[in-house]
Amino acid sequence: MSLTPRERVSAQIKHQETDYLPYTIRFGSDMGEQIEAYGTDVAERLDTYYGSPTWRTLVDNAIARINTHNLGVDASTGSIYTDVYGCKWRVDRRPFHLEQPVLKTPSLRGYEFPDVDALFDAAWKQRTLHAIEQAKDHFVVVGFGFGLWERAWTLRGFDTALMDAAGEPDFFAELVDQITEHQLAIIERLVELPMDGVMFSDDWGYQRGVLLGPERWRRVMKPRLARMYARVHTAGKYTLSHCCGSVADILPDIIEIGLDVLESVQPEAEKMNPYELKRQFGSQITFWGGLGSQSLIPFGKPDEIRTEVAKMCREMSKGGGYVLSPAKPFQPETPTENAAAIIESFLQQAGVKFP
Amino acid sequence: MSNVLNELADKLYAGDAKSVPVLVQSALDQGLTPAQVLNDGLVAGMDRVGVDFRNGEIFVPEVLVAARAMHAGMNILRPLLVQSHVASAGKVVLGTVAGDLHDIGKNLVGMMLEGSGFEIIDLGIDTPPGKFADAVKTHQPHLVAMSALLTTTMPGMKRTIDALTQAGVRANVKVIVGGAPVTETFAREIGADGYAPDAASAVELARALVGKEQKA
Repeated sequence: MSLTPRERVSAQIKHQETDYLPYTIRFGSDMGEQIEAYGTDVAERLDTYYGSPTWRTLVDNAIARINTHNLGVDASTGSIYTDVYGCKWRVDRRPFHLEQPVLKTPSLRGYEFPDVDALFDAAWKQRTLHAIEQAKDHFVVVGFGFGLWERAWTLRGFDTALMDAAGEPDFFAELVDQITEHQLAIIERLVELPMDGVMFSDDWGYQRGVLLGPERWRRVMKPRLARMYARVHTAGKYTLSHCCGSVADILPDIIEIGLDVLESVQPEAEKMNPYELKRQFGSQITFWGGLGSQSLIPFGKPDEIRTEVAKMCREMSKGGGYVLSPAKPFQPETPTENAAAIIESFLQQAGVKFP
Repeated sequence: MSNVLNELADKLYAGDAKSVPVLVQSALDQGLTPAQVLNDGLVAGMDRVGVDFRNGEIFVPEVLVAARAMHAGMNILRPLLVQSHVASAGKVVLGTVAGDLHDIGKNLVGMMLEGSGFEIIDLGIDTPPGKFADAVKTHQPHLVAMSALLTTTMPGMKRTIDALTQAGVRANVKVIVGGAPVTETFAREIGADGYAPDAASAVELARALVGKEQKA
């Protein structure tokens, strides 16, 4: 009997090979103005390309991401959105971005984190349970948006948080401590849900390496993240984390503190060649992503994409521990033929003949 | 070299924004010229930042605090440099291309260039091609430096180069490009004069290109 998408992902995380690779494909990344510059969005162009939206029913993302929208940024109306932490976001341009962080000085005096009980109330739970029910048979992950480092920079501003890390180390440690307690309280709510894993989101990497530097990451981030991952594991759930950029230097540490699945795996970033990562670390962690969203998908030829997907299926599937996916959602400039090549080759490896 | 300048370079490297302006002032009080304080103090310190950053010995946070310290020193030094007509290492028009709102990479490049004695005209983010062309006409820089973080906005670099050509100023400047998804190959395809993978390499590239131009 065939596996469900959920069973397929679980098997991969347990490093068992499956009949075919579980996969995800994501569209639209909230890029309004940029989409206009390239005509309509990729999904709509695919409807025209195939002559119908049937392809949408065939693409079956194995992992269902459910976000707790109560903490995020509502970019749907207005020009400035103030989030529950008190940070002001510019939402009339894309991508939406931080306009004014809440902490103007390197001090937490007088600042109160939003009340987790009030945010994760009965209405939230009901809404989330409903979304989980809708995702039946899929591997369900619930995320809480900005992770430990990301919450730190949203509270202080990106450059300022980086400077705090070097210039105000005591304050920075206190800041990430308080965020850790706050996020542990959130995780407490998430792990009660009937789902498979907690989706963390924390961009520790940039194109060339670890933003904070590997040593500082180990000193400051690692022990706090270890507590969060441990809490998730105690509840019998998996830990997954989105992370952009190059994190090869800290991957042994990430594995050590118990991350089950690393998502994105941008092959263009320094030392992030997925085949090399697979060779070195493939038996200890599951990679999710790895198809080049900065190179192959926007700028490659459809044939090159098909060849690369076939290679990923052949090599990354060995011994399990892989979920097939582009490193990022399709961006507006993705040629329709390239998006189609991804969809068709993903479906093909899953035994679905299309078109 | 004088002790105060060595100490200035050390404090800048350490990102000590309190000591740097004090040391700049004390170097000037000792009779050192603004050019000496700039080149043998601030630039010397920032050069070490650049080398160690590229070699993976220090990281983005250290570069940012060093740049902050440099700014604190430059606030005292800049008017004196202008007064004494000290020539910069070169003039750079810098910006993130149209449609792209990201600025930290561009800012890092600006800080490192400024820390190496370049004069920076920062056009900010979301800079239309015409604005680059106008800035080149107005400021007559040696270099135009463009940044893009998104594959979506990378074509803006080519459009900017085209705008420089149309405005008849392309031959007057060297164009350099960078940003996460940008590659050497892409830079060549769009007709840029250079590409650098990080801010420290951008300084070397800028020095090489401006040096060539000044020799020519």
